[in-house]
Amino acid sequence: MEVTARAPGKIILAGEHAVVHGCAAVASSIDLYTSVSLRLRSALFNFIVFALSIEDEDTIKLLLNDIGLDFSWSIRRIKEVLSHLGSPFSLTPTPCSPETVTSLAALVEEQRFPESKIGLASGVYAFLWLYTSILGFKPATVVVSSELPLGAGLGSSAAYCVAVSAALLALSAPVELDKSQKGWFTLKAEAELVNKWAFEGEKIIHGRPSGVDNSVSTFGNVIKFKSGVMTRIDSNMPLRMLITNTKVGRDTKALVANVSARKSRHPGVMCSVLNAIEAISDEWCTIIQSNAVDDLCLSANEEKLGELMEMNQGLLFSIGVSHASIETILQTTMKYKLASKLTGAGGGGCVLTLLPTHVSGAVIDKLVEELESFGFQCFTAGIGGKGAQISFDHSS
Amino acid sequence: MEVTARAPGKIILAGEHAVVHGCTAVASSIDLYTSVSLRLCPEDEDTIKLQLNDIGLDFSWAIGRIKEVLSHLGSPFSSIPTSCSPETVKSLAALVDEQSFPESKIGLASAVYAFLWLYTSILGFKPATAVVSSELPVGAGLGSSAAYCVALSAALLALSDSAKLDVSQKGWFSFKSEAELVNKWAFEGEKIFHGRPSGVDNSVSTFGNVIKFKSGVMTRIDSNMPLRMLITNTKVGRDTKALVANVLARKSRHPDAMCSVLNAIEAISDEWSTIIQSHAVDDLCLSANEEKLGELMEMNQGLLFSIGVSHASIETILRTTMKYKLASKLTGAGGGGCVLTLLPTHVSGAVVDKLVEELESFGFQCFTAGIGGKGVQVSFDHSS
Repeated sequence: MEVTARAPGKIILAGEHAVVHGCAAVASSIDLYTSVSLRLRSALFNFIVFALSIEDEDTIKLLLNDIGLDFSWSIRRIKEVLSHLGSPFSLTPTPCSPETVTSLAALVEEQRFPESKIGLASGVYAFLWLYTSILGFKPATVVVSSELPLGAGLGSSAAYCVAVSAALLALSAPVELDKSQKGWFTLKAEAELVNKWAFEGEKIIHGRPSGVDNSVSTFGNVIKFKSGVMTRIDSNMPLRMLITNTKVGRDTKALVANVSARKSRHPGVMCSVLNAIEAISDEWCTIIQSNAVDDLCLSANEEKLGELMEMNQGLLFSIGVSHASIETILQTTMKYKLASKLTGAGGGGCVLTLLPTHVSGAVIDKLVEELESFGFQCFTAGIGGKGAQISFDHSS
Repeated sequence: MEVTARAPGKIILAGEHAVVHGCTAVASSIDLYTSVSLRLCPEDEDTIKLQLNDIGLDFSWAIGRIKEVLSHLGSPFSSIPTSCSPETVKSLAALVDEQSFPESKIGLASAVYAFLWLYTSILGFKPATAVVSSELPVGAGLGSSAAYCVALSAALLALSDSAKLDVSQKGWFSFKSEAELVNKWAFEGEKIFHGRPSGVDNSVSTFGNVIKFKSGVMTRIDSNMPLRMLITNTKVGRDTKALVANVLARKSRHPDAMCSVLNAIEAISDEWSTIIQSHAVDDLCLSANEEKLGELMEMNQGLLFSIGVSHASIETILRTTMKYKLASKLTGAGGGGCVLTLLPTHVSGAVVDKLVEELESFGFQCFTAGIGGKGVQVSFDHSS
């Protein structure tokens, strides 16, 4: 029994940082995916394994392909640590308690986890929590691969949690999907459940996530969020972005704190700056929901959105979250008359550049070449596409 | 009879562009001067000479010729600043065309018309030689035309019957009651240059210190805060009209966002006014103020970027000063022009030298200047 789930990453189109102060922000999915394939061991397989003494016990295996880490836990050991939690409760998304996290940590430490990758430990805890909560103690092999860079603000952890949750739920008993379906299909009634479980996974990785990342990854398209309230926006505007990863790490907490400090030093100015950002988010929502009747209309919309991005970037510079690497990317894309804007926390991380339909592939290649010569990493992506999807006949 | 007048240039500390939409802006003088020395000649000489030293142009008009063209205007009316009519400008243009004016410098024709108008209006047809030199780059947004008009008006008025100055006074001194008159005449000169100037440039040059302006109303601000700026000239020319028009167009496309951006700029100008009028009791206080002002400059720059008036050259300067942890902001119209970098008192001369060297390696031109100093001054014993 095998299933593959893929979930998209996300970008913030407008409103980052301002959203912390009660303003509206707009996020969308990007067509860069994290894929999780889950293969339950069949009874026949298990028999063969035992007969040939390949292994002497059932295991749950997790292979993180891009990172090059493999984990293997014996079911017996996992049961020792977690069976007090009872049967799987796949229909009831439940937080992982701090005590259980400690138990999971013990399970992970028994594996060989290289010191350099220790930041990824919480991702493994999240896997064990979601697995045992949804499927219990069935032996299986799970393979994870991703197109998303980690820790760059593109929602890689959420995409991971969503894909893991979707794959697990697809094979869980209470969820009834037509396993003979061919190709990729989106979840319908089950999407809410996937999202809730993914959120529990995100909590293990981030402590107090907003829930926006996993919602965008689960449902796709565009989401507007303000003061904790998320509104799904239906957009069919086909926009493409160049996403450039500065590869500069940043301290998100410090950046957020600095903005608050600047606000307390210059309340009048900052209040208006935040109002301007909110106005930009509102305009984004209006424009992307409009239906472009023809190419001319689409071009005009792209021009407006490019201007909004440029304005948003100036405002983010004003609140103090830009960075030399971001400015370098801006200066470069400006030579090509393309609009760019940092996305997410700033201080490094990723930069979005709108690629209007009229821009040729040759121009983009030239731009990418120039950006890569600085050591940056480039992706092109369509935005606002589908959310999590699963396939029963896709081999990973 | 000889007099020298010197008038400072100006910078916009905050609020450029937004001021066009009714918001507040703040300008101050900078201690870079345009000097005009005026020597009245004996009556038997019959020419009026104008030497523009930095540009390397000399003009010489026969008094008889000038009288032919302008005597219908009557006696000098030095106490009544009067606009130069379009017809008179044409007459002046004819007088200038008779000189050999190199095609490349044709943009400076206004400077010569302004000279002839101010001269004949204030002093009439007395023979004299006027020598002009300046520390200010032309057309870079630092108020060079206003400083020229102010210095010229001041020198002319100092030698006219309207001003009752003590010619035995030593050294440089400011006008008192005559300052208004100097400023009004300078404004008439500016109109010849710019058509419809706001009057801020000549006011800052005449009175010095800091001026806050909003919706046509100018308020003089008394500041004794000693601030130093590095002023970097990108040497990139720009079309100010086009830049202003683009901002307006962006405002019509995105009214809500732009409205808030302009509000933010106004708040910055108001904070500048407040901070520079405060009295720093000690160095710690001054340092704290400099830090706040630097932050305001950084924020103002981000907002100017948002309204679309930055430029690759400006961004290059920003990136460079950012490496030295110094705050910068374009000043004036943008799209090129000059960039201000605040030089806090704790920054060493060596660091500033290093920064200047790096900026000059890009081909930019650097000046350091103190801001908010004295306005126009005259001297009877200064040889130019």
